[in-house]
Amino acid sequence: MDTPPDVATLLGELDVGNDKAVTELVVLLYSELRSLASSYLRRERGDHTLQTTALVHEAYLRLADQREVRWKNKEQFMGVAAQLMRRVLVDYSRGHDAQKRGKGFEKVFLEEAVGFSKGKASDVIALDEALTRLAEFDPQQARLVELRFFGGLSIDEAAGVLGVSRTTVKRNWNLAKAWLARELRGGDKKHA
Amino acid sequence: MPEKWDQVKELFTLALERDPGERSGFLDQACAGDHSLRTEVESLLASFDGTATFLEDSPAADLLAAR
Repeated sequence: MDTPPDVATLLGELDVGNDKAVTELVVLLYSELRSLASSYLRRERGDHTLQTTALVHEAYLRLADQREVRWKNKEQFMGVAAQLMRRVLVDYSRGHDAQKRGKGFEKVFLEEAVGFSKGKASDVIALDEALTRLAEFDPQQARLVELRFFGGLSIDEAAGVLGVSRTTVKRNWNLAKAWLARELRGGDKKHA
Repeated sequence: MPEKWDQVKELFTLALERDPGERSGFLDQACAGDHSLRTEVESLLASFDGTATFLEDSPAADLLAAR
């Protein structure tokens, strides 16, 4: 087995436009995030008062604080952060939904940190799946939703990341929301 | 891919920029008898009506704001 690449190497590859590096970076950071969560949990003795907001916040700071290799720009950071959040949320929701795990970190992680916890975990999973379908025929719209919803970017920031105008982002956002809302309602028709 | 996605995108955007009362007339013209195209655009416009808060409350927004 190869040694997994480190964050600095992957960041270097991002600079030359390696999309695979983005995915690997997210996986790596996510595993760091999990260890971090576990150590918090040990201290908290599985108590549900865990400050998950602070935990996720720290994950963001870690992501931002990569000193060896500079982020090419803020947008690049945002793009990776959005993917990371998507992964964290979806994994958490799957764990929650399955009700299989005991007091693993999935159970408490993000419990009160995310707006989505007010809804159902299945909503996150359904959104993730619908987003994957959207990406099959309109990847830019799917990416926009990932940036806006999972990454928390404003319209302007998303425009910067995607390299398109604010007007284009607004239009795509409207349509993506309309399409996804219809999908999540159960889909009144099949989309061939 | 949904049928005629590029056209759907364009017409959805143009229709949305018009007053709700003018959309039907606009689509009459723009779709020129293409029933499935029109149905799809209208379906998405109807769906859009319920999305004022949908996906607007990002779980990450507070985190980014705190940075």
